[in-house]
Amino acid sequence: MSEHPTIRLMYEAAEAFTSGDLPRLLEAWHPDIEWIVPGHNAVSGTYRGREELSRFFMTVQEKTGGTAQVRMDKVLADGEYSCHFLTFTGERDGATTTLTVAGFGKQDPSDGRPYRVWFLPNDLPAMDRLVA
Amino acid sequence: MEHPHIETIRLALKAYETGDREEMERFLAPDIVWHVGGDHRLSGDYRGRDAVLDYYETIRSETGGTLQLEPVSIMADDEHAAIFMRVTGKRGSKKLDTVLAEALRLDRDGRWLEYWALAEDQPAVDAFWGGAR
Repeated sequence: MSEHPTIRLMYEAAEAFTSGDLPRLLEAWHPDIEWIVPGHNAVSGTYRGREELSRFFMTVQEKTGGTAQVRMDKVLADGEYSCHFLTFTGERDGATTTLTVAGFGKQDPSDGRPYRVWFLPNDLPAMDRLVA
Repeated sequence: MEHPHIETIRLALKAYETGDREEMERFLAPDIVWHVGGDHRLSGDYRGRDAVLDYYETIRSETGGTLQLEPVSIMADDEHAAIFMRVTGKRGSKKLDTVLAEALRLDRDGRWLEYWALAEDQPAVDAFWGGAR
């Protein structure tokens, strides 16, 4: 059975995030992406389109002094929906925060690019502190 | 071929829907961690099987048993699973109709070790339950 295109895209996106390759990172998402960030912190809210999404990624790196990294642990996908499990690490004020994040997506069946993404870390207060 | 954990998840959802606490218990690992997203009074983390089962009972009680779960997609491999399901229900004069996304980390027997839930329309869920965390 061939791999679902969303699975490949999510692993590529995680690599691009960690290597700081913003153009490649943005390419993984649908141009009309709607990206919903939980919590009460500097990046919470809804981002629409790749330009706004780039602001989210840049703010996360800014708040963590460029230390933010993502390791994609697992991606499950069918035609319309996907779910990814990732480990996020970042430093702030000399302390390292590690979060296990469950992300959810709806993707364009024509190319597998998610057009709506929402996610939840295992420790939302820790995320709030990291990107306060 | 469908992964056997998918059928286990269907049985767990059925047990939840019928309010069968004893049956539901066998699908949960004793040290399960349950993350409920959003900004409502039930949002937050529940640790341990008893806390999660008590949370279920709160949900059932508050909705008068009206919550209905209609899976749209269930995906699983040996260690992880995802459920997207339409959830409908009533609480007093409030009505809920949304797609809830759930992510699961599983043990070797398919029991739930860790759970994350966040709705596609989370503000609607927050309004349904009311209050802020």
